[in-house]
Amino acid sequence: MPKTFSAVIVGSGASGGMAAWVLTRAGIDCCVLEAGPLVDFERQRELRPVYELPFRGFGTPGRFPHVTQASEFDENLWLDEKQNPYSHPANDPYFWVRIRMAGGKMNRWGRASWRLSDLEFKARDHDGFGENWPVEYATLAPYYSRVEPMFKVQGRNEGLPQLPDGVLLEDGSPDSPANARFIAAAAKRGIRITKPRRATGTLASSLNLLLPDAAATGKLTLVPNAIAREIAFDAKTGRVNGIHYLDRRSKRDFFIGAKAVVLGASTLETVRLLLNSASPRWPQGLGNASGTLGRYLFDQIYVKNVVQALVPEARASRQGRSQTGGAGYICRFRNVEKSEKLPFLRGYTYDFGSGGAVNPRYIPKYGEPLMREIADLGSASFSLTTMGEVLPRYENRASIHPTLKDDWGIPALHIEHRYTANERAMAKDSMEVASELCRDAGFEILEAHSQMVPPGESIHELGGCRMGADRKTSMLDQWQQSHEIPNLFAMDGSTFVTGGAQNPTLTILALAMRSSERLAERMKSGEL
Amino acid sequence: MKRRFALRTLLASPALWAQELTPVATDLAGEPRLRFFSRIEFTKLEELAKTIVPAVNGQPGAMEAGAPMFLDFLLSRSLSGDRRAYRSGLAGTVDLSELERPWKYGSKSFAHRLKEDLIRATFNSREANANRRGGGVGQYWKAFD
Repeated sequence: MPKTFSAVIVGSGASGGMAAWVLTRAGIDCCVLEAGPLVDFERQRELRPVYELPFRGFGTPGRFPHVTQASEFDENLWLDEKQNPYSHPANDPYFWVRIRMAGGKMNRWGRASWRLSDLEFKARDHDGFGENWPVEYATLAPYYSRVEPMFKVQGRNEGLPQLPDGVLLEDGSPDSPANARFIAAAAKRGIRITKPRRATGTLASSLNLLLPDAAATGKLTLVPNAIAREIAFDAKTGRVNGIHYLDRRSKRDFFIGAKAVVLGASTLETVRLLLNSASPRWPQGLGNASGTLGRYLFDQIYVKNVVQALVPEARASRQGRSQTGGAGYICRFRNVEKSEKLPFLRGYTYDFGSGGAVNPRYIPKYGEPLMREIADLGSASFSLTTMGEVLPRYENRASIHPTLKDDWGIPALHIEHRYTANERAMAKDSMEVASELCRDAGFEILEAHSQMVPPGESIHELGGCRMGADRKTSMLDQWQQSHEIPNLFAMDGSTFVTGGAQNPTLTILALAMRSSERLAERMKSGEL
Repeated sequence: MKRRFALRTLLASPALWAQELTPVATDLAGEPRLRFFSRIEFTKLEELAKTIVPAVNGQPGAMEAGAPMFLDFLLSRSLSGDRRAYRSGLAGTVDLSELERPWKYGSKSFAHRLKEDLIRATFNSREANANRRGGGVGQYWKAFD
């Protein structure tokens, strides 16, 4: 096996997988370092009844203080927080949700696949806050159009500027009566609703759609259980030349040489690796001449169950089981026009769904009346979740903790991320609008609130190693290439300048495809 | 040669043994013992369990599902905040009329907490699943090596 590769890619999820897919197909020999194991899903999982779990589905107490997504069924899937600690200010919790295995978090993604628009790419032009991206929608559109068919994205095109159309499998499914009433209520207020837009097919992940194609070229060396510790920088050439990594099980130290390094380790792990690769030449972190590494961290606000309602017609006692069912997506409608005067910048969207049981916590009864109501509301639930844009702020940052280290001795992150009045005003507005829409649709509101989940919990953490046209205020250029080190690239969510309210994976894939193709061209021409 | 043959037979045999033996689950064989609650607390918890989640229409309630005893086990392993919530909650009078008022997001009400825990412990029990009302079956992820 060669000890030096044309490209070493750190991470095998959406961005690392796409980089490997593009580069190997262009004939470039790649080594992918994956911190977690390569998992055979059939052997790793088995069906179990919930009552056979030690804690009846409550979960092992205290095992995941920051991963609300973890259930007792999948506790072993998420990254262990004791082995992999991080810190946050005591009063500003940050929920960092991690998975380490070949294919990355894509093995469990929600599959929602929305394009960003120029409301995000040109956000500064629109409202004066922050920075524009160094690319615009028209630049990225052809790449979105290639990624969507690869992941068999299903949905419905609406012709809206804030939600660009895609190359989709048409979702022509009818709406349930309850959803149709809700959609009509929204339309009266000029709010557009579309079908969910999701990748379909088994798994739909880097693990089954990108890595196998890359392996088939004979140009891929996939190394699971390899935890990247530091990127090696050669001060004489001004270039990076390899990666130091540790074996996950033995903790033994290794080095692998690289003519180019592509980081796709996930937003915060990429930032951590660059910060941990500081050297006398780069005391603030590798390639960090701008001082922006780790800064402008953001994600998306989530107000889970912003409104929980019930559909009265769907009660079992009214033979209403066919009244509900299906999901939808409310497209951004706030600040789409520059002229709007709202107490917040940017906008938000909602996921909604009807059908299924109303959680008993919302039923104001106990005893026999409660038991009967639970049975009566078995398919009467209607609920929405708000997803909103978070403004990228200099103050929100990840840095290296002075003493805390993981089980492999690698310095851990300290993450400071606070929401501000802008996000709070947006969350409140979303509660009020959702409540009005539910009332207009004739639903009974059981609970409405505007409390955002802590930063990080959306698992849409972005920024920290952002792109930009100006090297003084960004780490990377429009090709996700370091402004300072020509053979260093980052292609994951850390490179985002803004994030909108759309789930980011489709954009990560499209960007990584574009940048990797450019990298391949430059490597083949000898420019790199 | 004989030894090697015997070893091979042993290694190949577990499936056969498993077919011949019918093991009984630990929770069906014996009675659990109180680990967390005092006898007084537990008696109070049982009264609340009967009231909040009773058996209805042949579906097991919290008592039939052994929910109070399960909560005793869960709390014996829980973090201090959860343990305190139960200790102080059961020390006072639990105002059940709170359960007839709407639950609010982020609520710290012990009555609501108890209701949720009792329902979950009941619906996810072996007894409730025998009646097909329970939490069902899921994909369990084994630990990575």
